[in-house]
Amino acid sequence: MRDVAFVIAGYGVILGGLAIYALILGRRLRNARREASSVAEVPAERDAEQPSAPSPSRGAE
Amino acid sequence: MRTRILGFGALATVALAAMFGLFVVPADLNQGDAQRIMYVHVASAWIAYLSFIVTALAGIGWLVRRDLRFDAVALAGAEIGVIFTALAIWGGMMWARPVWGTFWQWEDPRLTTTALLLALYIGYLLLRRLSDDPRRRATRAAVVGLVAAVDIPIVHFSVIWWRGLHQAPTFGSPDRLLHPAAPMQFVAALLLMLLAVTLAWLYLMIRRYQLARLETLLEEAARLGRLRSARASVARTAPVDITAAVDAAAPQPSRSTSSAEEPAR
Amino acid sequence: MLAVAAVVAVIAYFALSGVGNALVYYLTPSELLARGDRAFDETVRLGGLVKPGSVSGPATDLRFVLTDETHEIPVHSTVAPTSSFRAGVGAVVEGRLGRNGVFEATQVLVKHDENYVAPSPGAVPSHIVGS
Repeated sequence: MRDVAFVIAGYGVILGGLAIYALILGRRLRNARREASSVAEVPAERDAEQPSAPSPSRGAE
Repeated sequence: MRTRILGFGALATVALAAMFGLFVVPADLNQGDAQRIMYVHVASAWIAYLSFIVTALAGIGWLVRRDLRFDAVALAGAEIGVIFTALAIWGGMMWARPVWGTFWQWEDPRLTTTALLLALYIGYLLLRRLSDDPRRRATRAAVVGLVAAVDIPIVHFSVIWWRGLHQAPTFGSPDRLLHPAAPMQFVAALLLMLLAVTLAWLYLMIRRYQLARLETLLEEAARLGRLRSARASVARTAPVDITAAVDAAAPQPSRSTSSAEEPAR
Repeated sequence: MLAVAAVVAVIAYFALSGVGNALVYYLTPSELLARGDRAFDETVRLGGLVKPGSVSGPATDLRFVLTDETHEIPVHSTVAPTSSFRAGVGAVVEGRLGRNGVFEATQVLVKHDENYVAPSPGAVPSHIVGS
């Protein structure tokens, strides 16, 4: 019966560890998505400035 | 959405498999309850192998196809493989103490080569942090991932090749799969846990892959942002030809992540 | 590429030194006795089967015989092994062979095998079968 403590520690850490990793991964993914959606506004900005600054200089190459 | 369903399915299967291994199946006659750890320990170890094999194959994929999506798969496999290796080692220690009488023996070949496996892939993950050029990083990681994979068969066969404390695999050969040296209910408990952990692995791999792709995108966006602000400040103060020079150094402003390699800054 | 070279070097080191050590994780009774006089000098691990019928004494003053079917060495231990220790199982003991021919163990590890048995009316633990 003494062994039960080891069984609990084994299952607890392995399955608990996987659950914690899944949660951390979910949070990292949410943060990255939020950041990506704020960055996604930049391409629109870039398109807007494309005709004025970069394109003429690129054409001049 | 489908990934979400997979996640909940994995959770339910893991819970079911744990209940089965802990409460339904009887304990081994000689080892007692401690033997129940076998189910999570062996399943974790197999999935760790699987992760690192995926990393090696994805590394080959990158080297051949030069598509950064392969590198994202390789990263996911390595990170998740490290998690599963660490968990397998932990489970092994919790099983070894009550049965062998020790948590760890450095000179046991299986234990030592597994510790090496963990160290190798932690090294792989650290190496990835050294470079901020996604393409160079992918190439280096692919090479290290392939070299480190050499340890996978060494770990697996260590219990057969060398004398140690660790027992040989119960299902190590096709012959033993057909005539397992364990009662069918033990085999069922192990296979159920293996299925459960594999589902969890799939879910984690998909999530980690998605994160890796987003990280690449953000990295690219940050680089473009830096270049654009540099260009803007140069354009304000300098003649046009310098602007053109900076422009030439910039990657194509396409949304593809596979831009041309940037000259070293 | 320097990093890659370093990783390869580390693997090579571990592989070579690992193989060397792993081969001597434990000695069999025959191998230890074959060392002759040198057998008494150093701390070693000795592995073998616990000879059926040889186990005696309380757990903290345990006496048993380790055998490899060819040679056998009597072992004395004052540290209790785990409850999975029984006659007939594999065991690895760490310690020193005394001049009196008795191996004084400072650690007794039980080496279980890869066979599992479910309790059932007909099944008996291997220690009963063994002794």
